[in-house]
Amino acid sequence: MDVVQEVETTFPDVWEKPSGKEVVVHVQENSDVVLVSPSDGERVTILVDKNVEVVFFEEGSGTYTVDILCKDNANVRYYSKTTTGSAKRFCYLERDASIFWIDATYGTAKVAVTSYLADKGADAEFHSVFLGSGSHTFSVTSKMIHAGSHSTSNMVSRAVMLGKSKGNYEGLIRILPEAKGCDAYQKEDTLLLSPEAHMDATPNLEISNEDVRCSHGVSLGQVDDEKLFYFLSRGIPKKEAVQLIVQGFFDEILDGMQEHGTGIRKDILQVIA
Amino acid sequence: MGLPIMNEFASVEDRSMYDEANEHDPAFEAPPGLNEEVVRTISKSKNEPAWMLEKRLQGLKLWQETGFPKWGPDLSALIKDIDKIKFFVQPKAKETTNWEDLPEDIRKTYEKIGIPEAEKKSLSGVGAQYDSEILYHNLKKEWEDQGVVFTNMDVAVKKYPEIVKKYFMTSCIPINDHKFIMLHASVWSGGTFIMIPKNVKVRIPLQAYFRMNAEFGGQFEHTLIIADEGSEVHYIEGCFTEGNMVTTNPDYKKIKDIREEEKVLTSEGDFKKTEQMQQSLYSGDLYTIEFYGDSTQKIEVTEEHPFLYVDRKRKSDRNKEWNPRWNMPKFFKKGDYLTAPINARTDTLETIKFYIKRSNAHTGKGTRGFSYWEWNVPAIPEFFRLVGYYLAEGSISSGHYLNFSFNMNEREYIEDVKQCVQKVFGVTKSLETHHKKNNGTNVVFCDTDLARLFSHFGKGCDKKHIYSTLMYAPKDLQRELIKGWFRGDGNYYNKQHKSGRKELFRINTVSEKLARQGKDILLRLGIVSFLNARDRAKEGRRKMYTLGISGDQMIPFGEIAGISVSSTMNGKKRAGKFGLTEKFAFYPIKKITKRAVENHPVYNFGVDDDHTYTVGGVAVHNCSAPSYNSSALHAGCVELHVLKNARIRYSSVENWSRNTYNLNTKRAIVHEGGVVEWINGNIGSGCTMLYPCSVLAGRGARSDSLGIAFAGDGQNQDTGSKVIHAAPETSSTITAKSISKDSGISTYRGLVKVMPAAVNSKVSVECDALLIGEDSTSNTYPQMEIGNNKVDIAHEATVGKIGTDEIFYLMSRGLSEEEARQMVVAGFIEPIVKALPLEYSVELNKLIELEMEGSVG
Repeated sequence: MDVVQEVETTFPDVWEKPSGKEVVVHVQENSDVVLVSPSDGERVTILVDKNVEVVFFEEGSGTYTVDILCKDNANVRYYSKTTTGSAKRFCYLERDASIFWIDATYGTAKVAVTSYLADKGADAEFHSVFLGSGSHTFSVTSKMIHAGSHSTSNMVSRAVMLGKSKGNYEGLIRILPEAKGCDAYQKEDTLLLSPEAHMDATPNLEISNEDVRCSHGVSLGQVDDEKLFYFLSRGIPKKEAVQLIVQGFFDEILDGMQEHGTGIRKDILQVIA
Repeated sequence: MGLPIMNEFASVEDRSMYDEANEHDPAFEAPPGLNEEVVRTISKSKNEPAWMLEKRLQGLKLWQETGFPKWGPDLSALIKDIDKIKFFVQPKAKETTNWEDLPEDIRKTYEKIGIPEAEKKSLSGVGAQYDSEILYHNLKKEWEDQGVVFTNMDVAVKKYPEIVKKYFMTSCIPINDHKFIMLHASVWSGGTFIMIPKNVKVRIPLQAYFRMNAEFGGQFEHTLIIADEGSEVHYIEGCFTEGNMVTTNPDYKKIKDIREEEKVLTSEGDFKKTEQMQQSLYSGDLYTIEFYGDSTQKIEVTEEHPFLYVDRKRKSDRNKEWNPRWNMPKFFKKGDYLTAPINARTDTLETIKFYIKRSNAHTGKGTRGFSYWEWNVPAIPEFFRLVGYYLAEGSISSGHYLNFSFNMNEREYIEDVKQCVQKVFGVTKSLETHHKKNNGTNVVFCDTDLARLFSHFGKGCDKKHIYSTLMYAPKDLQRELIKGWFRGDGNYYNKQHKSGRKELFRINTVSEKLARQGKDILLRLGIVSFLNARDRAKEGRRKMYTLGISGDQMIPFGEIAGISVSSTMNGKKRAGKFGLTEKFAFYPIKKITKRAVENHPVYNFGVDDDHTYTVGGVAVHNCSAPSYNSSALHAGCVELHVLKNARIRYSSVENWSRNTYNLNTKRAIVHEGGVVEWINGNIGSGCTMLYPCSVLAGRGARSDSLGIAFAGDGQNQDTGSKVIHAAPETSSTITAKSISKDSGISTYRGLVKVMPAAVNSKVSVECDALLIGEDSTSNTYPQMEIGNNKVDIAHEATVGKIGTDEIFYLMSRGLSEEEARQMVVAGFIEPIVKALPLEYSVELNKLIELEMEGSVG
């Protein structure tokens, strides 16, 4: 990990004031995987230079913050897993920059991800899976703030709730008056597999100009009876069938992480076994 | 009931008639502000039992202890004014079931907002609230006999104390629910109490009307509906009804729009059929009315359909004074006058925008395809005169050539056309061709852009029309248009007959639309013309429309046409049939015939009919509070108790004036197998916070909620639906549509809560928002809390603007941009509009259209 203590750059106004320990990661050229492992109370600041492509993998603990500044045309993929504590992630995207978040949250955890699409043509994707089991309680907040024109965003979240777990998902698409020609979508699907599980979902929209295309959707329910029937009719026992369905439900998102998702998949398999 | 047949409902340009306050003369008015004394006075003036006073005082205490909500729209202006609000105003009149007993001015107000006298006969029940008191109640005997109770809430407190004690602000909405409910509990007054006994199904909707009249007024009506086991009722809150007034609409394009919306309505689905069967089978006399001023059409209406009307004072003389009132066809007399409002809207124009299709190769944007070029044509007299010439003598050939055909002798006009073209467009080149055979001179401009611009005024003589922007142009410019048109298509008839001299101006055209537009423009210029049509099918020619100007009307017209007309005729001052004031034209009735019909399907009539009426409808508004600059507050409370297997449908279209804060609370408790249906239209009021809520407390209970909110400039519509699933197998659907225009903010704030006990429940939420104008804002906050896994939840929302593709499609089929937008909006709200009884849906369409007016540019 390239750790540079001082970087000369002006951070945008919407940037939160630094607090606690600070680590600055400066990515100057294309990199395959940069590991980010913030510890409790830490604030990691990442600066990605112009035209740089980079993949991050984050595994942190405790309460921490990750702030990313993507310069023009930077292209970031950011994979993360949150199993405990509270993670706050923020990304500021300049012109034509893009970020692709993939997050897996399981355990008792709190995640807040904000993408600030500051300039023209910026693009943000937020894909996430949540798995609640036992008496876990998690809360996920994802915000897309469009300030630049013709910026695009997409949020896809999938949750599976077991045991007495409690989940709270809050999504927000905010399109500021000056951000014309934006496209923004969000979708949240939940499978409630236990009668005692509880899920709150609030996909919010705040749109302040007419030149937009926006939609959101939420669905909550049980495993589709038809899908289940398909497995049962092929001699697969119900428990296994549900596992397969859940796996498939998550895989569509975790596939985006390529080989980095292997560990997460294993963890999930253990929980649903 | 008085539904018009083959009639097109027209909108009125002006909201003012609904926003006007009557002179305020109450019997008792509580001093502004709220304290214990005011609450005690209210209770005392109503002779209330002690327990109700106790409840009020509790509410007051809670109100004083609780802070204002910190979420949602900004209430600071209201909070500032809260001590000035009059929490109780009692009009002088007492409640009555006899319409005649109402004082004149209050009766007038209701007639204005659409509760005509006639309705008490045919509606099952009507209640009318004026400021804080219910003044008028009527329930058809049929239902009364079955034990249906429909009365004033104040009366119910005394008459049915046990029931009221049990249900009034207890289990459904407790008095500590939120800040404005506490206020409501302490100062509530009037409202409606409905009780439907077991298994009684009231098929006809019960309705109530509310109106606020005092400045800094507060309206706190309480509605309590108890539907006992197996019963059914449909309650409509505040509204206009079938008494949609008929009057002239100045812009035929709009009438056409409305008609097409109605087509959409009629051509669709099951709703129509059932609702219509219920609403519109008419038995009674049907009147056909013909009137001077327009011989091309007849109005066919039911006997009780109210018109704006002026009685003739003397048989042979024209009236001197014009005071229109509402009247019904069965009282009409030949010679009396029907009233046509004159379009008062005038836009100051510097330029007129036209969209001209240009090939990209030509404009350098690329090699293929077309794009639209915005052409701002200066709004100067020369352009309007040129349009007039075009309407009469112009044509477009091969899409590239603009022709004007004159008689050889009309040299003056030929030169004028050339000069106008040069002045407006800077085009100097033209060709002249001469036809010896018919003594014609043809001026041709070879300019594709010009040809495309003038195609906005119609190609082909029967398709000629005036581009809608020009209909609202200043009068001096419109005079030029008439001048040019008259020079081409007009003539001056002046012949000495044996009986005396006959003299009139005429303009002939084969375009019906143009003739009607011309008639309207003349009205704006203070000239009443008459319209005749001559069928020339036998001659193998198209129907000819003639606009005629005769009698005293010739004097002002002569000034436009440049022909001096003497002010006397046959030695006497010129007379005329028609009346004219600044706001209205008056046409005498020529003939009235009637025929009896049995179960006549009044609404199926005439939708396909091609007539456009000069006698269209004056929009009738509901819940209208008059305009004051100070804040007014509506904090009503609606409690519905839907007992086992009962069903309540609650419809409301709220159209308070813009200074009103509409902070209303509505909630239903639905027991086993019961159904509640909410249908809400929120159009008026500056700030609305309204979230109808259903508590599904019994197994299999259902809630359906349909809502439409329209936030125009400066409005904040914060609405939504709440459903709490507390029992198994409950289901709910929410459909919310919102339109934000200009600086309007519309917010959907909803809550779906599924309790752990509510297994096998189903929820579906759908919100769609439409944004019009750059500054508009739309927010969606749909909260879902799901507490068990045997549920099926779906939520969807979309936000967007009107697609340019849609607009382009409609415009390419000959609609103006404004018409196209209105049509898209009409389509957007259709699912909601369809759920309302027909007359309400027509009204809602009209209101939306009124609000959409001038949304282009």
